[in-house]
Amino acid sequence: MNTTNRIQSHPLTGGFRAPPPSVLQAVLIVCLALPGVTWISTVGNLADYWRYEVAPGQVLYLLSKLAGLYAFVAFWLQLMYGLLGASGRRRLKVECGHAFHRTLGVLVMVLVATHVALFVTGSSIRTHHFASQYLTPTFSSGYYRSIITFGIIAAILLLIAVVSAAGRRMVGRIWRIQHWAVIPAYSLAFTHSLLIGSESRIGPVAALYLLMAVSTVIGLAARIWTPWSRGGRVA
Amino acid sequence: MMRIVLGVFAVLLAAYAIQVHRELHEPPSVAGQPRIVPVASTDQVLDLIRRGKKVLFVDAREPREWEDEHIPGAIDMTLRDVAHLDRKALGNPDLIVAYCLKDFRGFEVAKALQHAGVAQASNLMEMGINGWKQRGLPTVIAGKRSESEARLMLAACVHGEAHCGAAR
Repeated sequence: MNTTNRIQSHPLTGGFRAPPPSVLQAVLIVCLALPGVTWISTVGNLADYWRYEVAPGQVLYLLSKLAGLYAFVAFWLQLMYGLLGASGRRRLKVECGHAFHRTLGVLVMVLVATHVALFVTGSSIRTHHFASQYLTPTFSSGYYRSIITFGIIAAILLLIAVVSAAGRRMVGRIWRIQHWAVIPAYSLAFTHSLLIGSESRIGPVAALYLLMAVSTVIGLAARIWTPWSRGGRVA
Repeated sequence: MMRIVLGVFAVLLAAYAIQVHRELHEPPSVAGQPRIVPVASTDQVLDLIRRGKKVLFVDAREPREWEDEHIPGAIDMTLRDVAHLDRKALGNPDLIVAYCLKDFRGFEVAKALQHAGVAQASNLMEMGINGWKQRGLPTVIAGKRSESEARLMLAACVHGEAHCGAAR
């Protein structure tokens, strides 16, 4: 059986036809706009936060939430792009090259760093002391800190994955194994984002989170079990 | 890719314009006041309770956090719950005080309640439940202190710190 026949008869890809690019573009626009639209609907007119007197650090907290939402959506896009592999991306007609994967990875890290920096700065301004407790993992200080700990561990695993890819010439083939740290990182980031955020459980965004979870599971299954997905490199 | 970025930007801009337009036509009940959300200090809240006024605490944290610990009498209401608000469930208190840990979320819930027409909504000023506890005021703690015990302690506390200490 040649490769083409194997792909067509595979349970995960049988009879697969790539959707038109316009459909994928529309889906992407909806996925990327939803968190921002929901954030705007809960925050309202941001100008009010300057027009009226508000509690110190509140604007930084709001921007931190926005950065967190987009960090997660960008992480999902990055993960899907990687899981598809070069041949999978070609089949879906979404191949943008390795430079895109690298740029998106940098964007994810920048958004995560912005999310953390804004939250810690906002909390520090509010409490008048450096809120270092939000950078320290712990599962014994209640629900809120436990969920933050999921985010901290996710960020550390993400950093390992990014550094391993950036320094792959130095670390050798082991970088590929280290790069798979994105899977537990994504799972923990998903838990953190879903359980701590108000916006992440508001109707349409909750549906987006479900879509992201389901698509990741399908992407991971395809990566492991389909021959076309393994045909190309992740990065 | 540029088409996608521009599309997302256009949608966000439209959402923001719609939101601003809506708020210009339905200004919050605090319009004309210097604060977007009125604040209530712990002392003001205790004074109101002492004078027999009805104060409703709204815990803006997640249900699990509320179950672990909350201010006596507080109801749990996250930001996403405000959209499905049943005004009758709030009763008709003299003051509604939203709080959380540091009052980031409490502020947003109080603001959302104001936008929903709940004019009594305010934000607890001194850093939410943490500030409340730092003042030595009682909380309901899962498995340690019941709602009725905490309410009795609070009833003593509103008459001064000496009474509050005796209740403990």
